[in-house]
Amino acid sequence: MKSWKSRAVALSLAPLLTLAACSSGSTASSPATTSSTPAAAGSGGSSSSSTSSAPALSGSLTIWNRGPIDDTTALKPLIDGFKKKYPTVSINAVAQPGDNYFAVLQAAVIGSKGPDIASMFPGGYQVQFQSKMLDLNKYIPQSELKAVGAQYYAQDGDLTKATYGVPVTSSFYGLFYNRKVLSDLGVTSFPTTWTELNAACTKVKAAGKTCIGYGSDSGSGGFPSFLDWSYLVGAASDLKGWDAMLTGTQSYANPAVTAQVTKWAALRTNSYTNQDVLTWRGVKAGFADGSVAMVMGGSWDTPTYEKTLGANLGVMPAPFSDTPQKKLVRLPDNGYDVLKSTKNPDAAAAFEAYIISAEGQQLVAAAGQVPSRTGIATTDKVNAALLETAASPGWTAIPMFDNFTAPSVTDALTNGLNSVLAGKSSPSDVLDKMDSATKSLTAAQRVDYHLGS
Amino acid sequence: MATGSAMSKSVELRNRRPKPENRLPGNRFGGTRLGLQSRRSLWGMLFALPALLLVVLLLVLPALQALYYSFTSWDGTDAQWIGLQNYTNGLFANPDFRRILLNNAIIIASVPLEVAVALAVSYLLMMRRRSRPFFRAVFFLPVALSWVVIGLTFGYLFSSRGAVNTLLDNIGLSALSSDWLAGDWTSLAALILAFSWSYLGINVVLLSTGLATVDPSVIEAARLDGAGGLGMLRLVILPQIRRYVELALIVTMSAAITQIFGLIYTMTAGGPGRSTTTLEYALYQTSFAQGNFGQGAALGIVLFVVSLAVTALRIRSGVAARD
Repeated sequence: MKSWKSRAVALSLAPLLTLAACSSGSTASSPATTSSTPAAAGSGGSSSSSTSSAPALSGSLTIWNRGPIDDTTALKPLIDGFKKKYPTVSINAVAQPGDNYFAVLQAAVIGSKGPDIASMFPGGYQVQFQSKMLDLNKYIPQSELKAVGAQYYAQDGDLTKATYGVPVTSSFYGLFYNRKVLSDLGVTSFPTTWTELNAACTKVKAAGKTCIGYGSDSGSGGFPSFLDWSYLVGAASDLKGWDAMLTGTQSYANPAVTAQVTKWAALRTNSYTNQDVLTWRGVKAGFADGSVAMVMGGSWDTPTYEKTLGANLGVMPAPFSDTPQKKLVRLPDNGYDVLKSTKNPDAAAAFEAYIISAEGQQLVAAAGQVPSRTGIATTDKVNAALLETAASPGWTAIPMFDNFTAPSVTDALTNGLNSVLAGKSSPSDVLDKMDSATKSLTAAQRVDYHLGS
Repeated sequence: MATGSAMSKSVELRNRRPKPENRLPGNRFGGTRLGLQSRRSLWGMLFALPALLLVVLLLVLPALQALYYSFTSWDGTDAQWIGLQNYTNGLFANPDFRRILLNNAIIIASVPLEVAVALAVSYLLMMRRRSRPFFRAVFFLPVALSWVVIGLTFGYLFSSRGAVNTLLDNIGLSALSSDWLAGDWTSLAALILAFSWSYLGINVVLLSTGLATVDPSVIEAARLDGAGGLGMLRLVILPQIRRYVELALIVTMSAAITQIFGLIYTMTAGGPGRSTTTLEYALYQTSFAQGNFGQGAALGIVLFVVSLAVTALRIRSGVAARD
């Protein structure tokens, strides 16, 4: 009898331990923030760099950066510039691991252990955190927010409503290519359609090289398929169609999108890509040594590739289109939010105002990134060349689709597209799963970002 | 008559109440005096109360809290009651969830095989007395490595251009080469292999300890009776170390359910698709990568039920085997 009692206790406790470990019970407190007029922090938005014009601010700020503090967001020069302007404010910048940054931030916010300022992506990422972030409309003038396209950090994509963050850069997705490899094989102009891409890849393949390299730096988790997706769905549907898919009123598994994904999957079956698209660790090395002709990436990758390829590096929108590609996937992003829990909201908002000011954005340009503020050009030649092309008549910019999908849909998308290119799933399977994930969203999670309006 | 007399004596003794001077003071409740057994139970419960309170506070309450949140849409701060939606829409209607459960089932089902391998290794070590300490240390070495290191190493070994394929190519078996971590089932097999390797050391030490408790004279007697090799292991040794085998099974199953996260994170990130996603990994993904703590809590409840079922089955089969 006794042994049964002890067994029963063991039986109850073993799973309880598991379950308790899965439960998190704390709730975040949200200290009230002091209100301030936009003019208070607005001085940061002016192009003046004189210390005397800045309001007296003091205290310390902790900034969490997603990933290393390098040139990607020009954080270091921005902090240095801000300190010159506000010498009595001290800033501690912390590099958080990029892989699970949002999980770490979420946990910190729930436990009221978050920083004052945190890296934030626009769209769905922002929506996930908006209840914990400070409304910057009270601190930064609308004209400044408009100048950097901060609407995707605002509630419902509307700057007149609460705005929780500001974008530092205006990043784009593109297909990087090795000019020399392509020109040596007779590909003198970059392909703009599926047909031209397949023709170019046939030549690259015949030369024993990989046309487009896919893989994973760590060997796990597959490749960032969301880069390709925006171009695939961008050629299949206009932005109103994107809104409809995001809110679930239109199916992802529609014929146009399915056809696009099918053509994309054929890149591997035609051996235009490496076969081990999920696990190859050598994509970047292959691109650098010329055994890979093209790789998908973002504007933040340009400085890295320039170091190895120099003048041979080029970047263009992915030609995943039946008609000549005239769309560039571009979005003001790499931003920073101020947490409601900050004890120093005025200084934090002043930093936000500074990084989108003309002065701050010049620093972003000098770091080789694409500034989010209109009228300030990037100093990077490769990025500048693409932006110049995309500014030509007939070209349009479309946002990064994956920034607006709910996390569970993004998960279905990235996992699914990885499986499709690896030949493990069919395009319709994956698109059906995205539809299914969208259907599972609550009404509050189906955000209409009004991308098409 | 003598028997009847003894019985009546016994009844008389049983019914005899203790004299007032022999009773323990201060145990009067509601006017009824408690028996010695009841009083002992009461004091026992009183002493156990602090520990019980801790268990309730640290385990039961969070568990109940998790149960509550599994019925809500919870982003970590605000929770809205949505009934069974996390289960019906989020889990049971999702085809990926079935695959996740299947992955868990396969990993758990592989545990007896893993323990069997450890038992075989331990048995061989027992047979080789001179080299035993050295090889036991060798087999235990993986235990000192972190899951991350093991995951990264096996990730490299099984990558398309990794050591396993290189070896196969070099020995003329290139037809067997594969992108192991990109296959639906090969990735799961690679994960299980990495897990088995990392747990082999613990099980070998555990089972070696068990084997050391076996009386050598019994083995000698069995040997004189003609037993040897597998027969000796199955019929003589195994019954004597059953409890150690059970412990190894429970420890390994528990790890297979709740500790394999690090390996998945570093080797496959749950992919390709959901091929190597377990309940534990899905819980992390849903809660922290997607910020859907409500559904994460629902996954936690399912993990709890699986854990409960496995523990119950294990205990039941252990009892049945002893009976």
